[in-house]
This record gives sequence, structure tokens and C-alpha cells, in this order.
Amino acid sequence: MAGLETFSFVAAMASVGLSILVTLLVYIIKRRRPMPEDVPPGESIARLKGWGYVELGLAAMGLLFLTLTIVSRTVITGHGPFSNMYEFSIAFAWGIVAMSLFFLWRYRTQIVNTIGSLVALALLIFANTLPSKPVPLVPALQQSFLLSAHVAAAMIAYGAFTMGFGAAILYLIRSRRAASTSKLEVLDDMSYLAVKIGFPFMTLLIVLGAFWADIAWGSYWSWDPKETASLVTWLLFAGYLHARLMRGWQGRRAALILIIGFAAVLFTFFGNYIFSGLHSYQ
Amino acid sequence: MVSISGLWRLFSSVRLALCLILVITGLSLIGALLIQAPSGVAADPTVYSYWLQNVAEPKLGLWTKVLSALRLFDVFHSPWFLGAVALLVLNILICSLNRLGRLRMVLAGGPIKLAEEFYSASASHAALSDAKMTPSAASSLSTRIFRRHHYRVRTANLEGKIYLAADKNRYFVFGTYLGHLSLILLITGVLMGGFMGFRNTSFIIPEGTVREVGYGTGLSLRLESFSDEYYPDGMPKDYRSQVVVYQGGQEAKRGTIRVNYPMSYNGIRFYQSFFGPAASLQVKNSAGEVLYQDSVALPEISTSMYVERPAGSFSLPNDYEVYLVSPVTNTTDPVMADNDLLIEIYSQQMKLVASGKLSAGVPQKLADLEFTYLEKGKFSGFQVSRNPGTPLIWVAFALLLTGVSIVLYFPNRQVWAMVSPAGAGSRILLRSTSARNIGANTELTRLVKSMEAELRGRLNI
Repeated sequence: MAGLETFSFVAAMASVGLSILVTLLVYIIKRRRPMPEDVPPGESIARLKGWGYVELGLAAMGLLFLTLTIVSRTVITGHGPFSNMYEFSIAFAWGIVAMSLFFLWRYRTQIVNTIGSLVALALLIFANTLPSKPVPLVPALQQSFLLSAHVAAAMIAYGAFTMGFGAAILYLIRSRRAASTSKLEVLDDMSYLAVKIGFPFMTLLIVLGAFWADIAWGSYWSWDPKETASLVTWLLFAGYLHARLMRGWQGRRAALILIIGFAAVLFTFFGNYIFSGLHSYQ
Repeated sequence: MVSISGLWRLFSSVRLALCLILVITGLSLIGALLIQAPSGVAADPTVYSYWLQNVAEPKLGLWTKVLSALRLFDVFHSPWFLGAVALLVLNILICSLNRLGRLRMVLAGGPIKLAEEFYSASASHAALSDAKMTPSAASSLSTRIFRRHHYRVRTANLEGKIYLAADKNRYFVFGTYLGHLSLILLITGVLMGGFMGFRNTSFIIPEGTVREVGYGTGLSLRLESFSDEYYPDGMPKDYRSQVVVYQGGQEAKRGTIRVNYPMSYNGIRFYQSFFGPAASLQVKNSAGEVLYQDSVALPEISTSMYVERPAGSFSLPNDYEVYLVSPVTNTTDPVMADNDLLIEIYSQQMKLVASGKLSAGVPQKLADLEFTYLEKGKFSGFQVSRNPGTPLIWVAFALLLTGVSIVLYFPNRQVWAMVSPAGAGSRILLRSTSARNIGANTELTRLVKSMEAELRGRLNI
């Protein structure tokens, strides 16, 4: 089992890395051909075709191997793989790759997916530097259902917010280069979908955390730094929804909030290293 | 001079809500990054100044005073934070009240016939025409399409033109209300817990003894036994306390308290929190009468020569204060034997009366008293709390999740159409709600495509 875990972890890293490589290669090769004058500069949001299917396949393989890693680790440790930063990082990467595939299927464009893959690869490389030896659970973490549900909600929320970040970054880059409005609208639409998925799960993540804290720590909220950081993230996206739904913020301004929101997600995720507190499981 | 209506307008604006959310976010960020005084510390000026000197100042130096004056070491109880939350609550309430009229209109559906310009004023509007179809046929075709997309359709026939108003997910507005009122419910729950509940984070009971819970509960708790288990690598695996709850002296409940498995009795919850060594002691006076016989918890730490040892204290009936220090627990103590206990006796004026070393089972005379260290044991530390606001918190969270899901997944849609005769056929003008309504454009395009398909289909027959 441990062998399978290591094998699939490496295979997942290779698949995600290759999918990025293929995208970049295709991009460079296409770039070298002179573009006809009438093609709008936003054209590199490629439709899914040819090489696109290779990238799709690689991303799907990445998801498959990450799932295998998580499953084999669960078999080894007997609990959901959600107890230290190594396991959290793999779970976060899984969320991103799964969300990437969903967005790829929904919008048929790869470039946002590539930004997601970059973040996922960075997380896997980070995980690779951490001690991967499974450690037994301290008493506070011995609540199998809540542990799994709490972290699973985080996987989906963080994965979705990463997609929102990818779409927002591309929006900002492309709007500078005066890309066609329809392409920008697609990106704007994608970023909203990301929040539409991410925000309810972020809310669920906090609710489950509060519920668990109430039975494990004796209080549903203790202003633990990680709790507070998650509140900051939640507030930022709540602000985004109000600005967007009530005041019509779209495009650049909305994209900017999403980028700040993603920074808050990273801050919440890596918070364990920045501050101590109840969440500081290493 | 600020008028009432001006204030009302200010508090019913989303712009203010955005500003307040930003302020609360910023303050929370400070709360996450800056070290915060532990709960209770900031409320006690002596403890707080001790904390400032020993914890905050070594890290922040000269900034300590400034940050403390700004109340940023207890940011979540600072006037800034509480004020911003209070303003946001007011903002939410006034926004909700202000939109009650709109709520009624959304539910009823609003006017059917609107001015001619209205139909092409929105960023998302469309026009369709058919050379042969009569306006009434075109109107019934539109109605059919709208209904197929789950719209409610209302029509009006005026001056030879047919007006249609269609809407979907009109109960969406309740989603916004649910979401926002849940936040007010949440704050109510927090306040209820604060004012009507209690929390004792260090309720300590040595093994084999009974302690009163206090806070007017009439309960006491007896610790039968405590056990701690470890993994082979030394990481903690399990802590469990076998306890009995007494109400008015009568046994009321008996069970095990573990981390993640608190015990509940009459709305009062007992949580396993920490543990440590205890020592049971007997004290006799010179006449041989037993003055004291109990187990003493040693939850504090006494540091001497870089060695940290568990320590604790108790008072004797003659107002002596007795301090006990036990050997290091996890490794062998460099100085003390395993069955030894250091003892210091202080008078009321905190003057050292006597000190010495006790060995288990050996009576020792100190300050005219006879001390016997009976045996060593363990104590268990619990958190005891009653929080009548908690159920409200869960209800609020459930409403919040429902509200958020409704708002995001069942958005309200409104479409208006005007069918007018054009030559032998008719012309349909359509528009949806403003472009701010996310997806309104896509939704209208979908409807129009559907209608076009229907028109083509009819011609093909």
C-alpha cells in the first residue's frame, strides 16, 4: 500500500506537470505562426480540440492518481488523509484538479485550467518537501466524520476559488490587451461560477468547523487565528457577491477581489506556519 | 445637519454594507496576524498589564503601547469591531425593511404593461418578428415557451397590443432575507451565550474527589479515575475521565468524558481539557486532629534551575497557604526522588513559615503540624459551560446555508414582452431585468432561441 501511495503521488505530479508542459508547448508553437490580422488577440483561449484532448487526458490522469494516493493513504492510516500539512496539500491539489476538470468540461477552454494546474503542481511540490510518514491522530482530531467532512468542504471551496483566481488573472491580462468582449465575458462568467460553487462550501466549511469546535474544544468559536483567517476569506467573498449582485461590479473590479480572495485562501491554508493556535497540527 | 431621511438612505445602501464588510475584514485580519490577549486577560487590568509586559512587549517593543491604546490586542472586543458589527446589523435591518415593498412587488409580479421605451431600454433585449402570425397566436406561442422554461406568465390585452410579464424563482427574495436575518440571529445567539451562559475553562478535580461546579448550578462532579494513553512515538492517543455528576448530593449521571465526547447534563456540558499529577495529603495538628485530608491538584508550573515541575497549592483552616512541588513527570527528576514532594508553608502575610521535603507514607512535622504525603495520583481539568445561545447558532447557520444556496442557485428572473401587429404578422419585443442581474442576458438568449426554433418549426409544417 505504501508503495502504491508513493507511486501514485509521483504519477500525479508527473501528469499535472506534463499537462502544463503540453499547454505551454502548444502555445509557443501556435505563437510562432503569424496571426492573420483579423483574428482578435484573445484567440489563444483555445477551443478544446487536438492537443486539448491530450491536456484533458493528462489532467484526468492527474485526478486519478491523486485519488489513488488519497485512497491508499486512507487504507494505511485508517482515517481520512486530513491530519497534517502533507495530507492537506494533497487534498487541496485534488480539489483544484477536480475543479479544473469540471471547468474544462463546462467551458471547453484550457488556459484557466492551466493556471489551476500550476497551483496544484506547486502544492504537490510543497507536499513533497514535507514529512509524509503517517502520524497517529491526536485526541482532538479523532472524529472521523467531522474531520472528513470539514476538510472535504475545504477541498471543494479552495479548488473553486483557485479557478476563480485563474479566470480573474486572465481577465486582467486580457482586458489590458483589449481582447474581444465575448472572450472576456466567458472569463467573467467563469469567475462567477467559481464563487457560486466556492462560497456555499466555504460557508459549510466554517459551519462544520464551528460544530466540531463546539464538541472538541468546548466552544463554537474561539477566535483561533485559522478561524479568523477563514472568516476574513468568507467576508471577502461575501463582499464580492454584494458588490456583484447589488452594485453590478463586473470585469476588472470583480477580478481584483477574486485575486485578493485567493490570497486570503492561501493565507488561511498556510496559516499554520504563520501563527500558532488550536489548528497548528504539524 | 444630517436629516433622518438622509440617515435612512445611508443605512439602506449596499455601499455602506460593502464599506463595513471591508472594515470588519481588515480588523479580523489584524486579529489573525497580531497576537491577541487570551480570553479573560484583557478584562482584568492587572493580568493584562502583566501580559503586555511579558508577552507583547518582547515581540513588539515600542509598538506595544500604541497597539494597546488602540485596543488591538483584544480586537474582537474593541469598540472598532463591535461598532462596525453593530452598524452592519443596523444596515442589514434597514436594508431589509427598505426592501419589503420590493418583496411584495416581486411576489405579486409587478406591472404587466410598461411604457414602449422600456422594452428596448435594457442592455439585454431582443426583437422577433413573423410575417404571418397574428399577435394573439404569437402571444400564446410566447406564453407556451415561457411556461416550458418554468416561468409564471401574466398577460394583458390593451389597445391592440398584447403585453406579457413572466417571472421565475420569485421566492428567491426570501433567500436574501434568510441569509441576512440568519446573521442577526447569529449575533443574538452569541449575545445570549455571553449574557445567560457561563464558561469555566479550568475546572480541576483530583482523582477520587468531588468538586462543586458553582455558577448556581447546584451540581458537583466527582472524578472516579483518569487515564491517559500514548502512541509508541509518545504522541497522545486518548484521555478519559470516569465521572459522576451529583445534583443536590444525589447521583444524577455517570459516564466517561473524552476529547470530542463531552458529557451533557441539564444543558451543562463538561469537556475533557487537560490533566496532570495530584498528591493526596493529610494534615494533623499537634493534638492529633485531622485538619485536612484531600487530594491536591498540581496544575501550575514551578521553574527552578531550568527544570519545570508541576506545582499546586491549598489553604489550611488556620489560614496557612501550602505550596507543593512534585518531581518532573515525563523524565527522571535530576534532584527529587519519585515519591518526594517539596513543600512550602506561608502565613497569611505571605511570609515563609516552613519548608521541607515529604516522602510518601512518612509523617513529617512542619510548623507545629504533621504532614503526611499519602499517595500520588492524577487530576483532570475540564471545561464546564452552559451556552443557551448555541441552538440559535445552529439554526442561524442552517438558515444562512439555505439562504446562500437559494440566492446563488435560484436567481429571480423577469422577462417582459410586447406583441404588436406588424403588417399581416406581428412583432415581439422582449427584455429581461437589467444587466446587473447575473445571467439575465444568457437566460434571455435561451428564451429567444427557443422561440425562434418554435417559429421555424411552425413554418416547416
